[in-house]
Amino acid sequence: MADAALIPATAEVGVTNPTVADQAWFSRRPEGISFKVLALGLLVTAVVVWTSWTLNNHNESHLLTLQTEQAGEVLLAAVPSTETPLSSALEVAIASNGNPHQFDRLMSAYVGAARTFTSASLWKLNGSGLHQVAVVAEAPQFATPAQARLSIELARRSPTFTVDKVFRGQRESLAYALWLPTSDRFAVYAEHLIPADRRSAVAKNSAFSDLYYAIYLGRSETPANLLTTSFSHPPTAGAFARTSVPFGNTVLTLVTAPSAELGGTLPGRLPWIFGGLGVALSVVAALTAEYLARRRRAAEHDAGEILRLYGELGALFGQQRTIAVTLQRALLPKETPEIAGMEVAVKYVPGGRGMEIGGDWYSVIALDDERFAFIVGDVSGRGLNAATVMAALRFTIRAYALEGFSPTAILEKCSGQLHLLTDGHFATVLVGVGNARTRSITLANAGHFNPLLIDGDTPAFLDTVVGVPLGVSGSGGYESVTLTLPPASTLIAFTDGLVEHRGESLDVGLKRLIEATRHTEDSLDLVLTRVVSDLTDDASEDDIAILGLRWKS
Amino acid sequence: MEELVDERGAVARLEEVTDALGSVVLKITGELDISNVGSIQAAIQATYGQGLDLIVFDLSEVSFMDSSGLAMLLALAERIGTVELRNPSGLVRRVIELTGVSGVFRIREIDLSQDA
Repeated sequence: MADAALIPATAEVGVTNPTVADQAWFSRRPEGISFKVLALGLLVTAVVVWTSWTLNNHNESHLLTLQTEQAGEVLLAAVPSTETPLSSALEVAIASNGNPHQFDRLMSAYVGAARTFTSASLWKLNGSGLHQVAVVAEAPQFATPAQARLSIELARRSPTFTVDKVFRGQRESLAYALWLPTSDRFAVYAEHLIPADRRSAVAKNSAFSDLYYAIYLGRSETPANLLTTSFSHPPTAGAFARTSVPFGNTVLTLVTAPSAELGGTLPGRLPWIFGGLGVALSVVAALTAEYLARRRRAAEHDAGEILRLYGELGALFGQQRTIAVTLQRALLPKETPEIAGMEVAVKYVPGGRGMEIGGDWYSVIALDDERFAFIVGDVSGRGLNAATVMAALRFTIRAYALEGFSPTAILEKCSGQLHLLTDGHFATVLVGVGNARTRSITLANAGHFNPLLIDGDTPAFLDTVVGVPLGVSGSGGYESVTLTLPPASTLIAFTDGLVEHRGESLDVGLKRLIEATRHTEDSLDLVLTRVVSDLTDDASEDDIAILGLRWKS
Repeated sequence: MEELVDERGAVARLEEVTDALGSVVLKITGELDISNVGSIQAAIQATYGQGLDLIVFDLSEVSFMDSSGLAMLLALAERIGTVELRNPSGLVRRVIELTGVSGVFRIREIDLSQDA
């Protein structure tokens, strides 16, 4: 049995622990799972954003390449607009043998502001060198004889027309020269003034619409070679593309960069949209996880609370049970009474079920040097009320026994003091008066189990006249039996809890009692201990009181 | 009919049957102990509390009865007058014998079940 002092201490521990759990529950600390969900969501978002960004970039660079090629085609298509007038003029010169009027008439359509050339001139080679035959110019100063001679010398060694970049003061011009081997002695020279804003006519074509561009003469992308551009600064970083188209004896190099999203605005915005949505979804998922985790924690907390309350209830039950047992022990004899010439042993086993106190008891009372009274009784039912009835009966019977009344007289006197209908209980009582020397006993029985007599190795139940239990109407008229027991006899009286077991007949319990007491060479206390251990188990519900008496001789 | 279950799951069933002679018989089946005797008593009290001088129980299928169960039967006998115990099971019979209360009840071995 647990020490009574331990119970409150244990109960207090049970109250303290959940308080710590409460603090943990009410804290604002987020759940670990929500961080994991958030991290996973952000990771997925990052992958999606990176993928869409990469795809878009790839797409953009592909589109830029395509569009640059397209722009190159446009540029290429513009080349004949330069070459054709030059070759036409040359053919006319050959056919007209250098007629300046013919040249004038042809080229004046191409020369002028916002036209193909700012000046064009026809040259003839004779023995002393190159001579200008005719010139068409917006203003004469655009024609530069020195540069023309240089360009034509180059053109004589070139299978196509030649292109040079020349400076005229602050302005840059392109110098074209055409000499054909079949042209005999004639050459055409033309200049084109590069606009101050360096804007090119080709740039109006839709192929250039989404592009920044720069066109260089030749393959070298140096400022000196720059013909026209829409860049405020030449591109140094980012996506750009280049292509070259043949242009006379040189090439035009087109460098482009996208001025807008070539694939439209949506693909470019997708990474941002995915990113925004992903972050929002991750946060929502994390918040949901947080909510669910908190809900679960709350449920666990509730379950814990319920378990704790059960635990507390259990502790209270245990406590009350302890009180009940303490009370019952207080009502039973503090120590086994000493009867001269007798070995006396007692056992009290509280039932395993419920917390209510039972109504079982035993008494042994020395009456004089030889005689003693013994009582085993059982008040029906349980609880404090049953225990109260038991205490009243126990002390009443004890008093009558000490007064010297016979067992039948004791039962008769008590039968009027208990009423089943008013008290709610009846009581079975076995009262005996024995003589330690003569081994004579007188027994009276009010509805109680007959005691077991063990004579040597032969246990058998004694026959008594079983009267009505105390408290039941019709009680009274008890009859006693008197007999003299063999030497060294052992008498065992008990209450029903010992032999009454759910699911088996009472006779089985009684038989087991006989079996358990067959060997009586042990001390009486040991015999009773064996009886208890053989006949009870953890499932035993009822309280048990056992009284053993053994004559020493 | 009433099912009375205690916390261990032990079941006692109180059932009102009519025998071949038309008498009302209360049949208790199962275990009759301190855990459910109160409910059974209340159920009987509610139905047969007044104006009876005889109550008939069929206890042929009572597998366990402790002193509280016996106390209930004894109390009914005192209150009503006659309690007839019809075909009590061996266990009930033994409890009644050992407690010396055979004389309190009218114990009858009789087969009046209708389907017999």
